[in-house]
Amino acid sequence: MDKPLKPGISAIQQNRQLCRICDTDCSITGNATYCPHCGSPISPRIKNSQQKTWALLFTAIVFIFPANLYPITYLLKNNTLYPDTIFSGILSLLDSDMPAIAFIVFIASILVPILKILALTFISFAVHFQWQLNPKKQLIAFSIVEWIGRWSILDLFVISIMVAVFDKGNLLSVYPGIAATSFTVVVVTTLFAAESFDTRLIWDANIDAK
Amino acid sequence: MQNNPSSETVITKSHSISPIWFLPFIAAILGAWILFQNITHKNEHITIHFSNADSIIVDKTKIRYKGVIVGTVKKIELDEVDGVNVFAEIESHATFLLKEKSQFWLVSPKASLTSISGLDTLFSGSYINLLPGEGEAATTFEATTEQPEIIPDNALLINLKSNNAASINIGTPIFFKKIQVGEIVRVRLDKSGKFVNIQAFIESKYSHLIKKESQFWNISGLNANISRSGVDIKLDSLTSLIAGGITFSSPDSDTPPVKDQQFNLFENIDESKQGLQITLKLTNTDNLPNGAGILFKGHGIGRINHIRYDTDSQLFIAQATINPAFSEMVTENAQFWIEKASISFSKIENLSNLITGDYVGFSYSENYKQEKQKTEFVLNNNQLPSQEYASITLIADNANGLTAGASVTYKGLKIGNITSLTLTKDSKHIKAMLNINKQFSYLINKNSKFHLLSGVNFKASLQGIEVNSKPLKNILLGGIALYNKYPPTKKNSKTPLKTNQLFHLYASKEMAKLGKNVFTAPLKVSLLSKELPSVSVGSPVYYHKLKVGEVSDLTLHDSGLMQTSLEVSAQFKHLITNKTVFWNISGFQVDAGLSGVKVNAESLLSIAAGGIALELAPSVKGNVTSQGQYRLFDSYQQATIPPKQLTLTYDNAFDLKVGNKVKLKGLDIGEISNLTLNKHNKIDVTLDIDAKYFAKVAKKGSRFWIVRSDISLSGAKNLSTLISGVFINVSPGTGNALTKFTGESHEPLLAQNKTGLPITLLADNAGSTDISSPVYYRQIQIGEVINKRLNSDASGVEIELNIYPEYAYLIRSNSVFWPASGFNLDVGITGAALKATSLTSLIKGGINMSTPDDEKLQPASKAFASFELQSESKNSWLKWKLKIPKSN
Repeated sequence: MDKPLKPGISAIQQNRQLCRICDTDCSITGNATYCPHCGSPISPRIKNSQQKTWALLFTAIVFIFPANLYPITYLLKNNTLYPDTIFSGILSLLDSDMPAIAFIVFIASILVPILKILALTFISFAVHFQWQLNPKKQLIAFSIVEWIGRWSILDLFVISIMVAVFDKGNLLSVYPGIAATSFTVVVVTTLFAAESFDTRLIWDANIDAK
Repeated sequence: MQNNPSSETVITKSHSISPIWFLPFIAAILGAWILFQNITHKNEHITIHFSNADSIIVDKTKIRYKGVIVGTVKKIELDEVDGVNVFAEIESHATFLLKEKSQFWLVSPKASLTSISGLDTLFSGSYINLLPGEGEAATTFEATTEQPEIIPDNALLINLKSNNAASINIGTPIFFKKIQVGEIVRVRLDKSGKFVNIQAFIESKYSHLIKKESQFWNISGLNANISRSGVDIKLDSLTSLIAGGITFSSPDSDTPPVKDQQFNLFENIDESKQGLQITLKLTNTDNLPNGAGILFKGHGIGRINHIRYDTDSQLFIAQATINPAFSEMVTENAQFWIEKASISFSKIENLSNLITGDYVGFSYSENYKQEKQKTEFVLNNNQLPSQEYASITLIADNANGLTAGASVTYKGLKIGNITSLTLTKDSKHIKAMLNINKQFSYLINKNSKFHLLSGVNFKASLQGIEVNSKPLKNILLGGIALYNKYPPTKKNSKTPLKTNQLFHLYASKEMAKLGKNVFTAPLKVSLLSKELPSVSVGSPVYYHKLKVGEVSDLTLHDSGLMQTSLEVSAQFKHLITNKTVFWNISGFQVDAGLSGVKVNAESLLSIAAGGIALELAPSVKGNVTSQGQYRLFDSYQQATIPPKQLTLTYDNAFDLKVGNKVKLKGLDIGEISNLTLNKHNKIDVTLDIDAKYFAKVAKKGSRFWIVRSDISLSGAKNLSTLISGVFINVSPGTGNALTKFTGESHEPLLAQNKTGLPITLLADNAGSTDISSPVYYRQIQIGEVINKRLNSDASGVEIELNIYPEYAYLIRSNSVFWPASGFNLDVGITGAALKATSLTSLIKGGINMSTPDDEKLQPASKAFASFELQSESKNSWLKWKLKIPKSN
């Protein structure tokens, strides 16, 4: 039962499955629903992984537009509301001679979410259509996306801090705009999309194609 | 591997749809809705043409309507022709506002006297305001330069006509009973250019107040009511003070205004009213404004309507309206005058006139009821004295310290003032008219005196400085005070003043006390002197240190002498007789000697300005010249007891100078008055000898010599002459009177009391003996060498000694003499002995004398006896101890 797994062949082909909770493997056949070690629900692959990823990705794609086109913050200064989109924020940073910060914001707030969506979409397509691609490279791309994706939430922290701090009534206040919500949705959905994507499917797709 | 069918891998394909799909579904709906919104609510792009784009910022400047942001400026471009085109995006919900007649204008902070608007734009930046209009939808607009006047709904529009737009502006409020009921919205010049058309609105709730008969007039901001008790200023409102204002009457009639009725806007409330029209003539208008008020005791009774210039009479003609209630007072003897603002150091009067312009004062004649009415008056510059004043005329030498309006005081209490200052007919004096308040007129009687209140009395003396000042007002304005020697009371002042009595103005209270003498011409006295005294015009003339006059002139007299003219005050005239002597007391005398410096001065003033003193000297002679001029003496002494003169003849003037003293036994008895070269080429020194010593010294046998400082090894003599100068010493003689002497340059050797026993020494040579070498007896000087000469056959030397009288008895017929000069050096086996008589004798030489004690006392030597001068002394001589009785 506990014979060592052979490298080069996927675990599912060796009738093994991994418990995602306690990180132990067991045979698929004997433990259809529960992990024999910790009793958690177990399955050889994440259930409906692709569906979930697709659904979340789709939501993210819808919301990425308002997130970038609508004002993310409203600055109320001396009774006048100054809306700022992410991009206008970057431009004003550039105007203020802060290109480094502008670059970081551009990477974190515009490039990363878009690239994340693009990368996930690409990998999902590769899995779905069983493109013959190098699974290791796909995995690296996915890992980068998953790692960097969490940093996008930084924007939201900044906004929430600004809203809390700059609350001086009509003199100086900051309000979040529609884009803030949209951006949150994009970040959260892409995070969950990455989470629900089962990387093992990349290999499965390769095997299936053969 | 077990072959267990049950454990076969079963791959079941799941076709169930995950509930997660709900999320994108919602997202899709939301996205679609946003898209729909964006498409349907498309922002309108418009273009507004501005003359310039001051304070319009792309993406920042908003467009507002009623405070709501309806758009944002997106782009600014220069217009090809003129100005700038501002491209703006109007939000979809506000696009209905964009009509052909819609107006746009830039709101920026604007502060005017009446209002501050757009203050919020100071912080938020300017914005463009939108006022929707009518017409077709449009996207291109022309910005208006000013904020269009917003007329409230249903407001009544009225038209006013005025001659000018003085203090009327857009926004000028219209008041009714001091409540603002409307506002001016437009001020336009009439097409003819003669009138100003003013459009205003009255708020609908007040519109019923406007009647057909309503009259509108301008309420000038400030309504000043000026009276003697003060200034009463009424303001309709602060706004109307600054921005002006209009008010109107609302008669009790029911006739509403005719449509498009044009109302006349009057300059003021009085203009429309009926009253007595009078004409005032004035030479110049000064600050008299059109519409100046006519005030009677502070109460407005009329107003000047307009002023024009009449070229024929060259006068300004002012048309005025008098309130009907007062018109009966305007009779023949009524007065009109201009009340002016007056600001001086002493008072501020009618200050408000500076703002409102002067006004016209009015006073009526007391019996106006019997007089005829008059409508033409001459406007005076000042109020003429009314009967409440007693008028007094003063005569003054000059107008210094006098100002029209300056007060007249009595013991510091103001009792009147100066009304005018003029020259008298002969132009020699100043005539000052005084008005004395009736209640104080009893103070004036014919003995009253008026004097100037000079501002500051400044007395400086060595004891200090005393400043005595009158109130500041008098310092600045001057003034006149009344002085009565015997203070009158109300009861005893029955004697009325003669109306034409003239009073003199005294320069000071002291003068006033002295009385009229002050005004009699001072007595002029001329003094003659060789040199001008160091006085200047105005220097004082003293009598016993009392100032009795002053120097009036300094000239050269025909005789070549200098003439000093004095003016002696009239009251001291009696001091000038033919017995009067004058002398100069200018400056100060310094008597400096080794004992100290003595300064003697008459007064501080005489030091500074010089001065002349006078005195009555009964015994004086020669003080008046034949022409009646007086001689100016150098001192009183010189004047009273003139010194007598004697003459010394010198070969050489040495250090002698005019002024050097002549002394007798240390007492000053005169001085050198002149030094001249006589025909024998000698110096004649004229001495002025004090009269009382003259007899003593002007005798034959008197000797005069010069005493000067003498510093030699044997001592310093007369060091004081180093400072005080040399002097001439006199040794009085006993012979007959004589006035010519030969002066000696040195002290005579047989001077004074030292004349004694002359004896002669015979010696081989004179040795170191010299004239004035001392003769010692026991180291005490008992005489001196007075001469030395070769004897008749030149075989020896004769030395003449003079033994002082008190020591003459010491010389006996057997006395021995030996030279004491030098020193005696004895060198022997036992050593060396140095003998010297004294340091003086060491240098100056000298002669020792002794008398042997081993012989009988010989009789005293006779005069001119001869002795042998021993060449050397013997030691034994020094040990002689002869007792010589003083008297035998």
